[in-house]
Amino acid sequence: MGKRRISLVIFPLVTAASLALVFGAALTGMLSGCGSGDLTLAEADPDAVPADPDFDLVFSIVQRECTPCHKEGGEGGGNDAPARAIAAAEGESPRLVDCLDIVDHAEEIYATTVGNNTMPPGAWPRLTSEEKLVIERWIENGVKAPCK
Amino acid sequence: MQIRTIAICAVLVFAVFAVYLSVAVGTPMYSAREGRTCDNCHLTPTNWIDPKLADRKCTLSCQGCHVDPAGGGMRTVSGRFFGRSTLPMIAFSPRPTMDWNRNLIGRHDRATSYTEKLPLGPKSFEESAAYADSTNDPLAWGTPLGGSTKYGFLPGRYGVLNADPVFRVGIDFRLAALAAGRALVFPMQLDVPIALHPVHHATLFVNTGVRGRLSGYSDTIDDSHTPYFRELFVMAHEFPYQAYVKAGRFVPAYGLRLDDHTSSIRRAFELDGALPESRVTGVEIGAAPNYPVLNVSWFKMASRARTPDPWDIFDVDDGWGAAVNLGYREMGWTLGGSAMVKRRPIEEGGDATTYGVYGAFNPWYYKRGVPLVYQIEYDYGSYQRVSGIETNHSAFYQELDWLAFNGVNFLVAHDWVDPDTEVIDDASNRVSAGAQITPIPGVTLDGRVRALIPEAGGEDADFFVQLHFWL
Repeated sequence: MGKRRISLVIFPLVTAASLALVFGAALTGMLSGCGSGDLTLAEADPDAVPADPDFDLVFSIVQRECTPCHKEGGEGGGNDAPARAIAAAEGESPRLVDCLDIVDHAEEIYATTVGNNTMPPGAWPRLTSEEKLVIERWIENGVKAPCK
Repeated sequence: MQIRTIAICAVLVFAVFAVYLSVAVGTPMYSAREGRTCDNCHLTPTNWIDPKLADRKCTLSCQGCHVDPAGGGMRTVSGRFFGRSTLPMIAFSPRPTMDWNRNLIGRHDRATSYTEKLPLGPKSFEESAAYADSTNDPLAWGTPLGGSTKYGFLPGRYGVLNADPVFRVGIDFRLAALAAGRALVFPMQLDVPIALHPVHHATLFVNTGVRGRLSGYSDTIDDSHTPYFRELFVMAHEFPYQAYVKAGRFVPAYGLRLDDHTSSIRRAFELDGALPESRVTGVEIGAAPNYPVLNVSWFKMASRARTPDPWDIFDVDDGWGAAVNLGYREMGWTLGGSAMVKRRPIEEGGDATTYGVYGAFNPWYYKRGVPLVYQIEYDYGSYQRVSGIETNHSAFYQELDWLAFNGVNFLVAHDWVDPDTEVIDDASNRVSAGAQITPIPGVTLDGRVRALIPEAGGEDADFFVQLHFWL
């Protein structure tokens, strides 16, 4: 009876601990930087994205990754630049829907998606290296856009 | 647009109504867990006479529970029985005897006798014909022409459920809420699968679904790819060794087909089940002789740069692909491997080759009192960047589940992906912990805290909740 009780308690504990150990070991291994390379994308493959990306490329990234949350917020003003600037400053979360929104917030988009890697937020996947390089090069080339 | 809006609203209303008529959700974890006992897939097999191997339907492969042998979506009668008997807190079909004392709220379901007088099914194929008239199944109608086949699901083995219907309709509807700084509520999935099985050995399967949009209902409805044929294929099946061949639009059988379509082992390899872009058009053959599982497919697909036509399943481009999945799903463990190649011009997305290994372990099968399941997959592959230069990527997934009570599952999951092995600081980990609660058949609430830990910094967490209606 004693043996049976020990078996009923010990076996589950040992099994659970073993599985937790396997899980934890794999997690620790991956967290410690398993598998990553040592070049930036621009160094590894300069042609991975266009040298001077079209606004369309940027727009599709923003539409897919930003607009779902940034549909409302510090928007307004239409084509009236001062009104847009005031609205953007007042809004806690900028609207990123049209060309003007994106141009107005280009630096902020760069800072959060490429700079500190905090957007998209939460556990949502961050932008890919290709998407980051598109935004980086678009900014470097002077934020060209049809609405400017 | 207006017609589409009305059609989607009608389907939504039907979905809400239909959940009261129940049946199952399934993931590879369920399959790995349920080899521990026979009576979660069918009635107690007292005196059952095991048929020869070629005739057996006992399998932990996806096709045991799903109409699509590659898994996901509409359930077979065995999957439906599991969803009614084993999965929920309150069972609608007799609860497996091993689980009688695992209820959180006592023995209150009417479906289970909790005595030795258990409902019994036929002892053999020959006896099953006598049970054909004892079904009472409002969502599975008729019997195929040509009489029974011993390779199909046997009448009476699944209680009141129609084992082998001519016509079945199902529903999968997921409403999701994501809290990450601000809260978003969005429709994640709405599928209406239909299976037409007029004669034995032949099934037409059509699954029409919406492409869920994070940005909400209006964007989902306005999406030009909502609704679309998520799956549409004809299938010849019910052959010895559970062999089948299907032709049409589908997602290739590869690795663990998780229901979390955002997992890196699915998304990184063009296997994201939520996207029309993951669908291919081709032929797949397979078999599941008790424990081994084999699926082989050849297909064509649309360019990566565009979304295929929602209704034209032959809207494909020049490239081609092939996939193979080979595994052994024992009652207490699973081990398998998959490979997939895609060959296409660089402007269509370029060549890609992927290899993966996966497994699962269920100690509960070996010892009562250990309701844990562990599953794991690792994938590695090459692909071409837009420039044409080849590089590699890899992904890893592991999940540990604890079934605390009937219908109450706790889990911790870990996702890792390195999208480009040459590039620094692009890998990331995602760790999730949460619970899945299935109060009654047809309704599952899944809540998880998820933390993203990118190598490049910017760690953050969110809370993700899904309300899943299924039948």
